[in-house]
Amino acid sequence: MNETGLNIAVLVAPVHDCRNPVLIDPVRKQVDPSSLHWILNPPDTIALEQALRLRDRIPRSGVRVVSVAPPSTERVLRECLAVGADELARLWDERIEEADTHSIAALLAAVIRSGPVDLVLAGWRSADMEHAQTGSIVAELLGFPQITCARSVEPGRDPAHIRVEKRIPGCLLAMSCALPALVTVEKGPPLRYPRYSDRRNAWRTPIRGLDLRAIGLTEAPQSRLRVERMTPPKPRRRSAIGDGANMPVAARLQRIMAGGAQAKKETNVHRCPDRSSTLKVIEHILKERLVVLPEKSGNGR
Amino acid sequence: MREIWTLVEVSGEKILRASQEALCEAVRQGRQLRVRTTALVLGSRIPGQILERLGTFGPDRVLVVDNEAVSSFSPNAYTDALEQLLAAHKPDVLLMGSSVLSREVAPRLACRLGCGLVTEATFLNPQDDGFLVTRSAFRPHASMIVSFQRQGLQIITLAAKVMDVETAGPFSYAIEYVTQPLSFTSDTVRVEDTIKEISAHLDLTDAEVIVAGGRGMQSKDHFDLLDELAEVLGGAVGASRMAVDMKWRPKECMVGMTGKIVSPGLYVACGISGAIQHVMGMQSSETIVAINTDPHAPIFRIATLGIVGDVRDVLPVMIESFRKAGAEAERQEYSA
Ligand SMILES: Cc1cc2nc3c(=O)[nH]c(=O)nc-3n(C[C@H](O)[C@H](O)[C@H](O)COP(=O)(O)OP(=O)(O)OC[C@H]3O[C@@H](n4cnc5c(N)ncnc54)[C@H](O)[C@@H]3O)c2cc1C
Repeated sequence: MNETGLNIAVLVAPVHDCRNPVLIDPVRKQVDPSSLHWILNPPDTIALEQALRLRDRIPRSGVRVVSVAPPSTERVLRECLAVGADELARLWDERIEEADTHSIAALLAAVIRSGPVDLVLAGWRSADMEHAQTGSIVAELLGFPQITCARSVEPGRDPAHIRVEKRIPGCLLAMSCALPALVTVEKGPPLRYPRYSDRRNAWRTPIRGLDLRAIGLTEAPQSRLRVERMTPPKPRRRSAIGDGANMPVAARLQRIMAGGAQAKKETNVHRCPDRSSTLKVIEHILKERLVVLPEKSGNGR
Repeated sequence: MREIWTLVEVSGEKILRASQEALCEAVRQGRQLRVRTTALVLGSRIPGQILERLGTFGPDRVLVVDNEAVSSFSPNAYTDALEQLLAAHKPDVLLMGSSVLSREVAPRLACRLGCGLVTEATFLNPQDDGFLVTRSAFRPHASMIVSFQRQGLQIITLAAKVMDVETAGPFSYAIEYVTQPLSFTSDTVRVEDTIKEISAHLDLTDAEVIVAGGRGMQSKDHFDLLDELAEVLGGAVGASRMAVDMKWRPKECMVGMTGKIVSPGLYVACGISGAIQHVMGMQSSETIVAINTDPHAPIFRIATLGIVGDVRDVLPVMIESFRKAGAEAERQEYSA
C-alpha cells in the first residue's frame, strides 16, 4: 500500500477448547464460565501465521493483534506476542459481557480504525460458537472489500493488491483484491512454535488494555440477538439395526448391565456377513442422508 | 408473520441441496403458520425447468432475478441485489442453506439492513413475529436457543443435512420476474483464475465422505474398490498406517496420529483394526461404518454401524447399491 510496508491487523479470539466438555448451569441455563478451557481460536492462529509470513516477505510491515476478550484470557493471548506479533490490543468492558457477534464486530472495527491498517486477517469462524460472521461484518463496517475462507494470502501483482486462493465446491479460485481489504482464512500452514526465550519475553511485553472509553464509546453497541438458554445436546443418534434392536427392554437392560462396551457394541454390529446386512447398512446411510447422491463436482454443498 | 423468503442457489442445471432443504423447511413452516412463502432465485437465464422444479417444493411464489451481475460466484453482487429486494419487499424472515456463498452474503446483509442473523440453525420454533432458533454451541457439548431482539427482518441460515427434502403437493405457485431496477456497487475483488478439481483428489480434510482402507484390504489391487466407492459417494480415499507402509497408498492419505485428523460426515473403515493411533485421527466423524472380518476388532467399539464380513464381499455390494441409488436420485432430479 505504501512505502512503509503493510500494516496488518489480525483478529484473534480466545475460544473454548471443545475437546473438553462445558458445564451448563441448570438454573441460569447458561454455560458455567469456570468450565471453559481457553485456547486461541485455531482458524485465527492460521490467519496469524499468514500475517507473520507476509510481514517476513514485505519489509517494514507490522502485525497488530486485536481481540475483544476478558482479562482472564490474557494468558493465552500472550502466545500471539511470543510467536512475533508486534502489538496486542485487548478490549474488554463489563458492559459487553452479553454482546452478540454484531456488537463484537463493531468493537473490533472501532479498535482497528484507531490505527493505520492496510490488511485485516481473521479466522473464518470461531471453533466454539461457529457463527462465521465476525470477519464479514467487520469488513462491511470498515467499508473494505472482503474475501472469505481463504487457503492462502500472498502479496499481489503490485503493492496495492493482495492475492488470495479460495476453494468453492469443485474449484480452486485464484483471486485478487485491492487494499485495504479484509480476508478470512480457513486453512493454511499451522502457527509457528515460539522459542522459549520469546515466550519468556512475551510475559514482559505490555498488552494494550482498552475499554469502551478508549475507543470513544459510552456504551456497548446494541445486541441484535440474545441467547435465551443453553442446554446439553440431544444424545448422538446411534443406530440399532443389529440383533439387539428388537429385544424387549428388560433383556436389553440385562445385556447392558452385563457389560458396558461389549453390550453397546453388539447393538451396532451386523453379525451375519451376508448381503442383506450390507444392504441394511446401505439403506441406513441413504435414509440418514449421510451421503448426497448424485454428488458431482459443481453440485457440492 | 406474513411472509417467509428462501434464497435458492442454482449451479448450472442443479439446485443446491442446502437450498432445497431450506426451501422445504420454509414451506413446512409456511403451511402450518398460514404465511406466504417465496423462493427467490438469482442468476442469468435460469432454465425454465429449474423454476418449475422449485415450484414442486410447494412455495406460493417463485421470484426470479434475471441479471448478468449475479450469474457467477459474486458475493458482493448478491449482497447488493438482496439488500435492495429485501428493503423493498420487507419479508419477515429470510432463510438460506449453508453454502460458501451464503456464509459471506448473510452476515453482510444483516449488517447493512441492521437486522439479526443466526447461522447454522438446527430447529425453528415459530413465535408471533418470527422464530426462536436452536443451534449447536461448543459442539458437541451444548445447544443454544437464540431470540431476535429487533423488530423486522430475521435472517437465518440452516445447518446442512438437518431438514428433510420433500415435494409437497398440491402445487399452485406463480413465477414472477423482478422488474425493480437493481444497482450494483463496484468491487475490487476479482477471480483471476479457476482451477477445476476432481473429487478423487479431494483433500482428505475437506471431504464430507471418506472411505479408508487398512491392512485388511490385503493388496494394492483391492484398493481400487475403495477408489470406486469413493467416486460413487463423491468422497475421498484414506488409509491406515499399515496400508501406507505396504505402499498401497501415498503418505498423504494416512489418517491418524501421524497422518491427518479428519472429521467427515461419514467414515467407512474397511479392514482397519482400530488401533488407538488411527482412531485418534477419525473418531470425531459423525457416522462411522466399519467392515471387518474380526467381530472383536476394536474399530467396532467406536463404529456407529458395523458389518462383520470380508471387504471383498461387502464393498462390491456397496458400490453396486449406491450406484443404483445414485441413478435413481438423478432420475428423480430431472423427472419433475
Ligand atoms: C507412534 C505411532 C504412531 C502411529 N500413527 C498412526 C497413524 O497416524 N495412523 C494409523 O493408521 N496408524 C498409526 N500407527 C499404527 C497403528 O498402531 C496400527 O498399527 C495401524 O493403524 C494398524 O493398521 P491396520 O488397521 O490397517 O492394520 P491391522 O491392525 O493389521 O488390522 C487389519 C484389520 O483388517 C481385518 N481384516 C483382515 N482381512 C480382512 C478382510 N478380508 N476383510 C475385512 N477385514 C479384514 C483384520 O481383522 C484386522 O482387524 C502408529 C503407531 C505408532 C507406534
